[in-house]
Amino acid sequence: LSWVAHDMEPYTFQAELKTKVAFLPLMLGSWSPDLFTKWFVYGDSIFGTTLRASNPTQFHRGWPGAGFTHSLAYGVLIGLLIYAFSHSRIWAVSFVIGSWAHVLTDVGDTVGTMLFFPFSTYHVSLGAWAYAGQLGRMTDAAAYFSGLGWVWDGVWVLLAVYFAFRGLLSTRYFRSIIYPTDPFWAWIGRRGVPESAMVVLYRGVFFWGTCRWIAWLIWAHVVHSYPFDLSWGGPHWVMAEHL
Amino acid sequence: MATSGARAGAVSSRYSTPPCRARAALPASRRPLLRQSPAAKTLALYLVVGVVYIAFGLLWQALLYSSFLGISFLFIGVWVLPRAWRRLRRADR
Repeated sequence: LSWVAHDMEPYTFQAELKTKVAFLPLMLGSWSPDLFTKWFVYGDSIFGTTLRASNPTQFHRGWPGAGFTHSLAYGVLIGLLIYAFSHSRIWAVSFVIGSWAHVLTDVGDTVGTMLFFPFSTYHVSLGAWAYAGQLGRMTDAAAYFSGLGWVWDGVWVLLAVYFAFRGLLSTRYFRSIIYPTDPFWAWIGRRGVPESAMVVLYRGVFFWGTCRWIAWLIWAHVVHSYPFDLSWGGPHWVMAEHL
Repeated sequence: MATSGARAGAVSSRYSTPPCRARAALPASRRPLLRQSPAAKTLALYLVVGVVYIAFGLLWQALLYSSFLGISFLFIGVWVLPRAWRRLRRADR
């Protein structure tokens, strides 16, 4: 699993593909595989009752479980549904690109993803960083920001920052590329949202992703003293999960 | 208290234009960066809000988990509060 790459990838794709994609479905696609499942992997307390998957890794990435959300077919299926309801090709294509980016990024951890589901339940995995979601949010954060996962996130943060300095987050870019390619912005504009507020919303995930990438790094290595382990499959001080 | 004419004239000419306009009349190289460029001002605002967000996030990690909270924090910090501040200042005048 990745913590920040899923937030930053859409900005890089947006910078490269410009008017061929719409930003909002790109972002929703990038978030969608974890959107309704991640809380159940880590567990959450509702009215004093803790809800958590009995086998978090199996639930998150496996079958039976919600692992089908981390497959190429899932993106295509939801993309087709979006096209059927909205008749917007750009929304459907952008969602598929975002979803595929998520699924391919998660191949990097020790569990991997069922890329070719439903034709195969084989987990494609590079095993570059440890999957530690089964150990809860905090341990997962500590492990992720001590291994190569953090470096991989950093690549996407730096790419997004590079494009930001080339104008990706400017009001002019929003006005000429983001706004015209997606009717969503005109729709919220008609409901009284001014352009300045739309620009802040457009920049929002970039801000959130960059800040939390820095914050978790400080939390893991300054506030706490988790050791860095940038070896393949690390950090090895945590029990990495495999499926 | 008596003031000499030359001194009084110097004082009145110093305040004959509002200070911000006087600063804007300076050559660009001598103006403070934040006054020169609205983009630098915006970037500075985002950086300040970012530092505050990171500081709060280190104290209360739930703030770092939630995209909704993160984006709301930014929205309040760089859009709602500056807008409210500008309105208050306008109302004061």
